[in-house]
Amino acid sequence: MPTVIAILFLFFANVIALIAFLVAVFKREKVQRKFDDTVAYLASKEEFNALVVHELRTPLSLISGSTDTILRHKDLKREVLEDLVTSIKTSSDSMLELVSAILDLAKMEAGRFGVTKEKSDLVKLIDEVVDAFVPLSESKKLKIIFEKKELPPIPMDPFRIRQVLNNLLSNAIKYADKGEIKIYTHIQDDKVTVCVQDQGRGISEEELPSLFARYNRLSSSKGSIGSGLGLVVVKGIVEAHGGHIWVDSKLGIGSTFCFSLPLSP
Amino acid sequence: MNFTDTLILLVEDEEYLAKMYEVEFQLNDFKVKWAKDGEEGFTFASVDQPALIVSDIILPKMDGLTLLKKLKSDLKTKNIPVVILTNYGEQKNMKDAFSTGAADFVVKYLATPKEVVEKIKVVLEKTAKETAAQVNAENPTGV
Repeated sequence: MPTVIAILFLFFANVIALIAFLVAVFKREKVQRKFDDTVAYLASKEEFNALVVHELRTPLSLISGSTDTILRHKDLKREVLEDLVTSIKTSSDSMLELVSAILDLAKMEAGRFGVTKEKSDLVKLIDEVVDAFVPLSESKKLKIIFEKKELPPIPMDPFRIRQVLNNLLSNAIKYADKGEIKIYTHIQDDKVTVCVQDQGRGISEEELPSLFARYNRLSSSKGSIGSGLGLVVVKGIVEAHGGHIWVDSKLGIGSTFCFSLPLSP
Repeated sequence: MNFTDTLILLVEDEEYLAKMYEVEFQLNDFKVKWAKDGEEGFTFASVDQPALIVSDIILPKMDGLTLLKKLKSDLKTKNIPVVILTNYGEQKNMKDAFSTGAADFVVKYLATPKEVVEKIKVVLEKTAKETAAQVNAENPTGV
Protein backbone atom coordinates (compact mmCIF):
# COMPACT_ATOMS: atom_id res chain seq x y z
CA MET A 1 0.00 0.00 0.00
CA PRO A 2 2.67 2.53 0.96
CA THR A 3 4.36 1.71 -2.36
CA VAL A 4 1.19 2.54 -4.29
CA ILE A 5 0.85 5.80 -2.37
CA ALA A 6 4.49 6.61 -3.10
CA ILE A 7 4.00 5.91 -6.84
CA LEU A 8 0.81 8.01 -6.93
CA PHE A 9 2.58 10.77 -5.04
CA LEU A 10 5.49 10.72 -7.49
CA PHE A 11 3.08 10.67 -10.46
CA PHE A 12 1.13 13.70 -9.21
CA ALA A 13 4.33 15.52 -8.26
CA ASN A 14 5.60 15.04 -11.80
CA VAL A 15 2.30 16.21 -13.31
CA ILE A 16 2.36 19.32 -11.12
CA ALA A 17 6.01 19.97 -12.02
CA LEU A 18 5.16 19.59 -15.71
CA ILE A 19 2.21 21.98 -15.40
CA ALA A 20 4.39 24.46 -13.50
CA PHE A 21 7.05 24.17 -16.18
CA LEU A 22 4.52 24.74 -18.99
CA VAL A 23 3.01 27.74 -17.17
CA ALA A 24 6.49 29.22 -16.72
CA VAL A 25 7.30 28.73 -20.42
CA PHE A 26 3.97 30.26 -21.46
CA LYS A 27 4.46 33.23 -19.10
CA ARG A 28 7.98 33.77 -20.39
CA GLU A 29 6.77 33.69 -23.97
CA LYS A 30 4.03 36.16 -23.11
CA VAL A 31 6.49 38.49 -21.38
CA GLN A 32 8.92 38.13 -24.31
CA ARG A 33 6.13 38.89 -26.80
CA LYS A 34 5.10 41.94 -24.79
CA PHE A 35 8.71 43.05 -24.64
CA ASP A 36 9.14 42.55 -28.42
CA ASP A 37 5.94 44.51 -29.11
CA THR A 38 7.14 47.35 -26.88
CA VAL A 39 10.54 47.43 -28.57
CA ALA A 40 8.90 47.43 -32.01
CA TYR A 41 6.49 50.17 -30.93
CA LEU A 42 9.29 52.34 -29.54
CA ALA A 43 11.42 51.78 -32.63
CA SER A 44 8.56 52.72 -34.95
CA LYS A 45 7.75 55.72 -32.77
CA GLU A 46 11.37 56.83 -32.84
CA GLU A 47 11.43 56.41 -36.62
CA PHE A 48 8.18 58.36 -36.81
CA ASN A 49 9.61 61.19 -34.72
CA ALA A 50 12.70 61.33 -36.93
CA LEU A 51 10.53 61.54 -40.03
CA VAL A 52 8.35 64.26 -38.52
CA VAL A 53 11.43 66.27 -37.60
CA HIS A 54 12.65 65.94 -41.18
CA GLU A 55 9.27 66.94 -42.59
CA LEU A 56 9.39 70.05 -40.41
CA ARG A 57 12.95 70.87 -41.42
CA THR A 58 12.09 71.24 -45.11
CA PRO A 59 9.55 74.06 -44.66
CA LEU A 60 11.69 75.59 -41.91
CA SER A 61 14.70 75.67 -44.26
CA LEU A 62 12.51 77.39 -46.80
CA ILE A 63 11.15 79.99 -44.40
CA SER A 64 14.58 80.71 -42.96
CA GLY A 65 16.37 80.76 -46.32
CA SER A 66 13.80 82.88 -48.15
CA THR A 67 13.61 85.38 -45.29
CA ASP A 68 17.38 85.64 -45.28
CA THR A 69 17.46 86.36 -49.02
CA ILE A 70 14.71 88.97 -48.73
CA LEU A 71 16.45 90.72 -45.83
CA ARG A 72 19.83 90.86 -47.57
CA HIS A 73 18.58 92.05 -50.97
CA LYS A 74 16.48 95.18 -50.62
CA ASP A 75 16.18 95.68 -54.38
CA LEU A 76 14.61 92.35 -55.35
CA LYS A 77 12.32 92.39 -58.38
CA ARG A 78 8.64 92.27 -57.47
CA GLU A 79 8.04 88.84 -59.08
CA VAL A 80 11.07 87.34 -57.28
CA LEU A 81 9.85 88.80 -54.00
CA GLU A 82 6.37 87.37 -54.64
CA ASP A 83 7.85 83.92 -55.32
CA LEU A 84 9.83 83.98 -52.08
CA VAL A 85 6.91 85.25 -49.99
CA THR A 86 4.63 82.62 -51.59
CA SER A 87 7.12 79.92 -50.62
CA ILE A 88 7.14 81.23 -47.03
CA LYS A 89 3.33 81.15 -46.93
CA THR A 90 3.17 77.65 -48.44
CA SER A 91 5.78 76.37 -45.99
CA SER A 92 3.92 77.85 -43.02
CA ASP A 93 0.66 76.25 -44.22
CA SER A 94 2.43 72.89 -44.63
CA MET A 95 3.77 73.11 -41.10
CA LEU A 96 0.35 73.99 -39.71
CA GLU A 97 -1.14 71.04 -41.60
CA LEU A 98 1.54 68.72 -40.29
CA VAL A 99 1.19 69.90 -36.69
CA SER A 100 -2.62 69.50 -36.86
CA ALA A 101 -2.20 65.99 -38.27
CA ILE A 102 0.20 65.07 -35.45
CA LEU A 103 -2.25 66.37 -32.83
CA ASP A 104 -5.15 64.48 -34.43
CA LEU A 105 -3.07 61.32 -34.51
CA ALA A 106 -2.11 61.69 -30.87
CA LYS A 107 -5.82 62.04 -29.96
CA MET A 108 -6.65 58.98 -32.08
CA GLU A 109 -3.94 56.94 -30.37
CA ALA A 110 -5.20 57.98 -26.95
CA GLY A 111 -8.79 57.12 -27.95
CA ARG A 112 -9.84 60.74 -27.43
CA PHE A 113 -10.69 61.56 -31.05
CA GLY A 114 -14.36 62.22 -31.65
CA VAL A 115 -16.58 63.67 -34.38
CA THR A 116 -19.70 65.78 -34.00
CA LYS A 117 -22.25 64.44 -36.44
CA GLU A 118 -25.08 66.57 -37.83
CA LYS A 119 -27.24 65.87 -40.89
CA SER A 120 -25.38 67.70 -43.68
CA ASP A 121 -25.46 68.25 -47.42
CA LEU A 122 -22.58 66.13 -48.73
CA VAL A 123 -23.10 67.17 -52.37
CA LYS A 124 -22.78 70.86 -51.42
CA LEU A 125 -19.67 70.09 -49.38
CA ILE A 126 -18.01 68.22 -52.29
CA ASP A 127 -18.95 71.11 -54.60
CA GLU A 128 -17.25 73.61 -52.28
CA VAL A 129 -14.10 71.50 -51.97
CA VAL A 130 -13.92 70.99 -55.75
CA ASP A 131 -14.31 74.75 -56.34
CA ALA A 132 -11.45 75.47 -53.94
CA PHE A 133 -9.17 73.09 -55.86
CA VAL A 134 -9.96 74.40 -59.37
CA PRO A 135 -7.07 76.93 -59.49
CA LEU A 136 -4.54 74.31 -58.37
CA SER A 137 -5.83 71.66 -60.80
CA GLU A 138 -5.89 74.17 -63.66
CA SER A 139 -2.28 75.13 -62.94
CA LYS A 140 -1.43 71.45 -63.63
CA LYS A 141 -3.86 71.26 -66.57
CA LEU A 142 -5.98 68.68 -64.75
CA LYS A 143 -9.74 68.61 -64.97
CA ILE A 144 -11.87 67.82 -61.91
CA ILE A 145 -15.22 66.26 -62.75
CA PHE A 146 -17.81 65.85 -60.03
CA GLU A 147 -20.50 63.42 -61.18
CA LYS A 148 -23.31 64.82 -59.06
CA LYS A 149 -26.10 62.63 -57.75
CA GLU A 150 -28.78 63.62 -55.31
CA LEU A 151 -28.09 62.41 -51.79
CA PRO A 152 -30.14 62.50 -48.59
CA PRO A 153 -28.74 64.50 -45.67
CA ILE A 154 -25.77 62.55 -44.32
CA PRO A 155 -25.00 62.35 -40.58
CA MET A 156 -21.43 63.59 -40.53
CA ASP A 157 -19.00 66.09 -39.08
CA PRO A 158 -18.77 68.55 -42.02
CA PHE A 159 -15.46 70.02 -40.82
CA ARG A 160 -13.82 66.59 -40.63
CA ILE A 161 -15.32 65.26 -43.87
CA ARG A 162 -14.08 68.41 -45.61
CA GLN A 163 -10.62 67.50 -44.25
CA VAL A 164 -10.98 64.01 -45.77
CA LEU A 165 -12.05 65.39 -49.17
CA ASN A 166 -9.29 68.03 -49.09
CA ASN A 167 -6.69 65.36 -48.46
CA LEU A 168 -7.89 62.95 -51.14
CA LEU A 169 -8.29 65.67 -53.74
CA SER A 170 -4.96 67.35 -53.01
CA ASN A 171 -3.20 63.96 -53.22
CA ALA A 172 -4.93 63.22 -56.53
CA ILE A 173 -3.71 66.56 -57.94
CA LYS A 174 -0.23 66.18 -56.46
CA TYR A 175 0.39 62.75 -57.97
CA ALA A 176 -1.25 63.29 -61.36
CA ASP A 177 0.35 65.04 -64.29
CA LYS A 178 -2.37 64.41 -66.81
CA GLY A 179 -6.01 63.55 -67.34
CA GLU A 180 -9.08 63.89 -65.23
CA ILE A 181 -9.89 63.57 -61.57
CA LYS A 182 -13.35 62.14 -61.14
CA ILE A 183 -15.44 62.35 -57.97
CA TYR A 184 -18.55 60.22 -57.74
CA THR A 185 -20.94 59.02 -55.08
CA HIS A 186 -23.34 56.14 -54.75
CA ILE A 187 -25.68 54.73 -52.16
CA GLN A 188 -25.81 51.05 -51.40
CA ASP A 189 -27.69 49.42 -48.55
CA ASP A 190 -27.26 51.73 -45.59
CA LYS A 191 -24.10 53.54 -46.73
CA VAL A 192 -23.05 56.35 -49.00
CA THR A 193 -19.74 55.92 -50.79
CA VAL A 194 -17.58 58.75 -52.12
CA CYS A 195 -14.74 58.00 -54.57
CA VAL A 196 -11.91 60.15 -55.89
CA GLN A 197 -10.39 58.66 -59.01
CA ASP A 198 -7.24 59.95 -60.66
CA GLN A 199 -5.11 59.02 -63.65
CA GLY A 200 -1.89 59.70 -61.80
CA ARG A 201 1.21 57.63 -61.22
CA GLY A 202 -0.61 55.01 -59.10
CA ILE A 203 0.69 53.09 -56.10
CA SER A 204 2.75 49.91 -56.25
CA GLU A 205 1.37 46.65 -54.85
CA GLU A 206 4.07 46.62 -52.15
CA GLU A 207 3.09 50.08 -50.91
CA LEU A 208 -0.67 49.52 -50.85
CA PRO A 209 -0.98 47.49 -47.61
CA SER A 210 0.91 50.09 -45.58
CA LEU A 211 -0.74 53.14 -47.10
CA PHE A 212 -3.06 53.82 -44.17
CA ALA A 213 -0.71 52.42 -41.53
CA ARG A 214 0.62 54.50 -38.68
CA TYR A 215 4.29 55.55 -38.73
CA ASN A 216 4.55 54.92 -42.41
CA ARG A 217 4.88 56.59 -45.75
CA LEU A 218 6.03 59.95 -44.50
CA SER A 219 9.40 59.73 -46.17
CA SER A 220 8.32 58.23 -49.46
CA SER A 221 6.10 61.21 -50.09
CA LYS A 222 8.91 63.69 -49.81
CA GLY A 223 8.10 67.03 -51.30
CA SER A 224 4.47 66.70 -50.40
CA ILE A 225 4.69 67.46 -46.75
CA GLY A 226 2.39 65.54 -44.46
CA SER A 227 0.55 63.69 -47.22
CA GLY A 228 1.46 60.26 -45.84
CA LEU A 229 0.41 61.26 -42.37
CA GLY A 230 -2.72 62.84 -43.82
CA LEU A 231 -4.00 59.47 -45.02
CA VAL A 232 -3.63 57.99 -41.55
CA VAL A 233 -5.66 60.86 -40.11
CA VAL A 234 -8.23 60.52 -42.92
CA LYS A 235 -8.69 56.85 -42.05
CA GLY A 236 -9.16 57.78 -38.38
CA ILE A 237 -11.80 60.38 -39.27
CA VAL A 238 -13.76 58.01 -41.52
CA GLU A 239 -13.64 55.25 -38.91
CA ALA A 240 -14.76 57.68 -36.19
CA HIS A 241 -17.90 58.13 -38.35
CA GLY A 242 -18.38 54.36 -38.40
CA GLY A 243 -17.25 54.21 -42.04
CA HIS A 244 -14.48 52.59 -44.06
CA ILE A 245 -11.80 53.78 -46.46
CA TRP A 246 -10.02 51.79 -49.16
CA VAL A 247 -7.99 52.24 -52.32
CA ASP A 248 -7.70 50.53 -55.69
CA SER A 249 -4.58 51.41 -57.60
CA LYS A 250 -2.41 50.33 -60.48
CA LEU A 251 1.06 51.68 -61.06
CA GLY A 252 1.09 53.95 -64.11
CA ILE A 253 -2.70 53.86 -64.47
CA GLY A 254 -4.02 55.72 -61.42
CA SER A 255 -5.71 55.36 -58.06
CA THR A 256 -9.25 55.39 -56.76
CA PHE A 257 -9.69 56.27 -53.09
CA CYS A 258 -13.17 55.56 -51.71
CA PHE A 259 -14.74 56.05 -48.32
CA SER A 260 -18.14 55.07 -47.04
CA LEU A 261 -20.28 56.66 -44.33
CA PRO A 262 -23.34 55.16 -42.67
CA LEU A 263 -26.67 56.77 -43.61
CA SER A 264 -28.07 56.34 -40.11
CA PRO A 265 -26.56 58.31 -37.20
CA MET B 1 37.51 84.74 -59.34
CA ASN B 2 34.71 85.85 -61.62
CA PHE B 3 31.69 83.53 -61.68
CA THR B 4 29.49 85.53 -64.04
CA ASP B 5 27.36 83.21 -66.19
CA THR B 6 28.93 80.09 -64.68
CA LEU B 7 26.32 77.36 -65.11
CA ILE B 8 25.08 75.56 -61.99
CA LEU B 9 22.81 72.54 -62.30
CA LEU B 10 20.40 72.33 -59.39
CA VAL B 11 18.79 68.90 -58.83
CA GLU B 12 15.93 69.41 -56.38
CA ASP B 13 12.39 68.02 -56.44
CA GLU B 14 10.88 70.53 -54.02
CA GLU B 15 9.86 73.37 -56.31
CA TYR B 16 9.86 76.16 -53.72
CA LEU B 17 13.27 75.15 -52.39
CA ALA B 18 14.61 75.06 -55.95
CA LYS B 19 13.22 78.53 -56.55
CA MET B 20 14.81 79.85 -53.36
CA TYR B 21 18.29 78.56 -54.28
CA GLU B 22 17.85 79.63 -57.90
CA VAL B 23 17.13 83.21 -56.79
CA GLU B 24 20.23 83.32 -54.57
CA PHE B 25 22.45 81.75 -57.26
CA GLN B 26 21.21 84.25 -59.85
CA LEU B 27 21.73 87.16 -57.46
CA ASN B 28 25.35 86.00 -57.38
CA ASP B 29 25.53 86.12 -61.19
CA PHE B 30 25.40 82.34 -61.72
CA LYS B 31 23.31 80.85 -64.50
CA VAL B 32 21.02 78.13 -63.17
CA LYS B 33 19.44 75.07 -64.74
CA TRP B 34 16.89 73.14 -62.65
CA ALA B 35 16.29 69.39 -62.77
CA LYS B 36 13.30 67.96 -60.87
CA ASP B 37 14.60 64.41 -60.45
CA GLY B 38 17.76 62.33 -60.60
CA GLU B 39 17.25 61.08 -64.15
CA GLU B 40 16.67 64.60 -65.47
CA GLY B 41 19.73 65.68 -63.48
CA PHE B 42 21.93 63.13 -65.23
CA THR B 43 20.58 64.04 -68.69
CA PHE B 44 21.09 67.78 -68.13
CA ALA B 45 24.57 67.19 -66.72
CA SER B 46 25.61 65.22 -69.81
CA VAL B 47 24.11 67.66 -72.30
CA ASP B 48 24.73 71.04 -70.66
CA GLN B 49 28.09 70.31 -68.99
CA PRO B 50 27.54 72.62 -66.00
CA ALA B 51 30.51 73.95 -64.01
CA LEU B 52 29.02 72.44 -60.85
CA ILE B 53 26.05 70.33 -59.75
CA VAL B 54 24.10 70.87 -56.54
CA SER B 55 21.97 67.84 -55.75
CA ASP B 56 19.49 66.78 -53.09
CA ILE B 57 19.62 63.16 -51.84
CA ILE B 58 15.97 62.12 -51.75
CA LEU B 59 14.79 62.55 -55.32
CA PRO B 60 12.20 60.90 -57.54
CA LYS B 61 13.28 58.40 -60.20
CA MET B 62 16.95 58.33 -59.10
CA ASP B 63 18.22 59.39 -55.66
CA GLY B 64 21.06 61.87 -55.27
CA LEU B 65 23.70 59.34 -54.17
CA THR B 66 22.94 57.07 -57.15
CA LEU B 67 23.08 60.11 -59.39
CA LEU B 68 26.45 61.02 -57.91
CA LYS B 69 27.75 57.50 -58.55
CA LYS B 70 26.48 57.60 -62.12
CA LEU B 71 28.00 61.04 -62.75
CA LYS B 72 31.38 59.95 -61.38
CA SER B 73 31.46 56.81 -63.51
CA ASP B 74 30.61 58.57 -66.76
CA LEU B 75 33.45 60.03 -68.84
CA LYS B 76 31.41 63.07 -69.84
CA THR B 77 30.45 64.06 -66.29
CA LYS B 78 33.07 62.61 -63.95
CA ASN B 79 35.01 65.87 -63.65
CA ILE B 80 32.01 68.02 -62.76
CA PRO B 81 32.13 68.77 -59.02
CA VAL B 82 29.00 67.78 -57.12
CA VAL B 83 27.80 69.41 -53.91
CA ILE B 84 25.23 67.39 -51.99
CA LEU B 85 22.54 69.59 -50.42
CA THR B 86 20.18 67.74 -48.11
CA ASN B 87 18.19 67.80 -44.90
CA TYR B 88 19.28 64.21 -44.25
CA GLY B 89 22.58 65.18 -42.66
CA GLU B 90 23.29 61.81 -41.06
CA GLN B 91 26.93 60.68 -40.84
CA LYS B 92 26.25 57.70 -43.10
CA ASN B 93 24.94 59.90 -45.92
CA MET B 94 27.90 62.25 -45.53
CA LYS B 95 30.36 59.35 -45.55
CA ASP B 96 28.69 57.76 -48.58
CA ALA B 97 28.65 61.07 -50.44
CA PHE B 98 32.33 61.82 -49.87
CA SER B 99 33.43 58.26 -50.63
CA THR B 100 31.51 58.43 -53.91
CA GLY B 101 33.26 61.65 -54.87
CA ALA B 102 31.13 64.56 -53.61
CA ALA B 103 33.04 67.85 -53.48
CA ASP B 104 31.07 69.04 -50.45
CA PHE B 105 28.11 68.08 -48.27
CA VAL B 106 25.78 70.79 -47.01
CA VAL B 107 22.85 70.36 -44.64
CA LYS B 108 20.02 72.60 -45.83
CA TYR B 109 18.64 73.68 -42.48
CA LEU B 110 22.11 74.52 -41.18
CA ALA B 111 23.12 76.79 -44.08
CA THR B 112 21.44 79.85 -45.55
CA PRO B 113 21.27 80.08 -49.36
CA LYS B 114 24.05 82.67 -49.15
CA GLU B 115 26.27 80.19 -47.27
CA VAL B 116 25.50 77.57 -49.91
CA VAL B 117 26.71 80.04 -52.55
CA GLU B 118 29.91 80.61 -50.56
CA LYS B 119 30.54 76.85 -50.45
CA ILE B 120 29.89 76.59 -54.19
CA LYS B 121 32.42 79.35 -54.84
CA VAL B 122 35.05 77.58 -52.74
CA VAL B 123 34.51 74.33 -54.65
CA LEU B 124 34.66 76.12 -58.02
CA GLU B 125 37.90 77.88 -57.06
CA LYS B 126 39.44 74.64 -55.86
CA THR B 127 38.37 72.84 -59.06
CA ALA B 128 39.79 75.65 -61.21
CA LYS B 129 43.13 75.45 -59.37
CA GLU B 130 43.26 71.67 -59.71
CA THR B 131 42.45 71.87 -63.42
CA ALA B 132 45.17 74.52 -63.94
CA ALA B 133 47.71 72.39 -62.03
CA GLN B 134 46.79 69.38 -64.13
CA VAL B 135 47.21 71.35 -67.36
CA ASN B 136 50.62 72.62 -66.12
CA ALA B 137 51.71 69.11 -65.20
CA GLU B 138 50.72 67.80 -68.62
CA ASN B 139 52.34 70.73 -70.41
CA PRO B 140 55.01 72.30 -68.12
CA THR B 141 56.52 74.48 -70.86
CA GLY B 142 53.15 76.03 -71.67
CA VAL B 143 53.75 75.46 -75.40
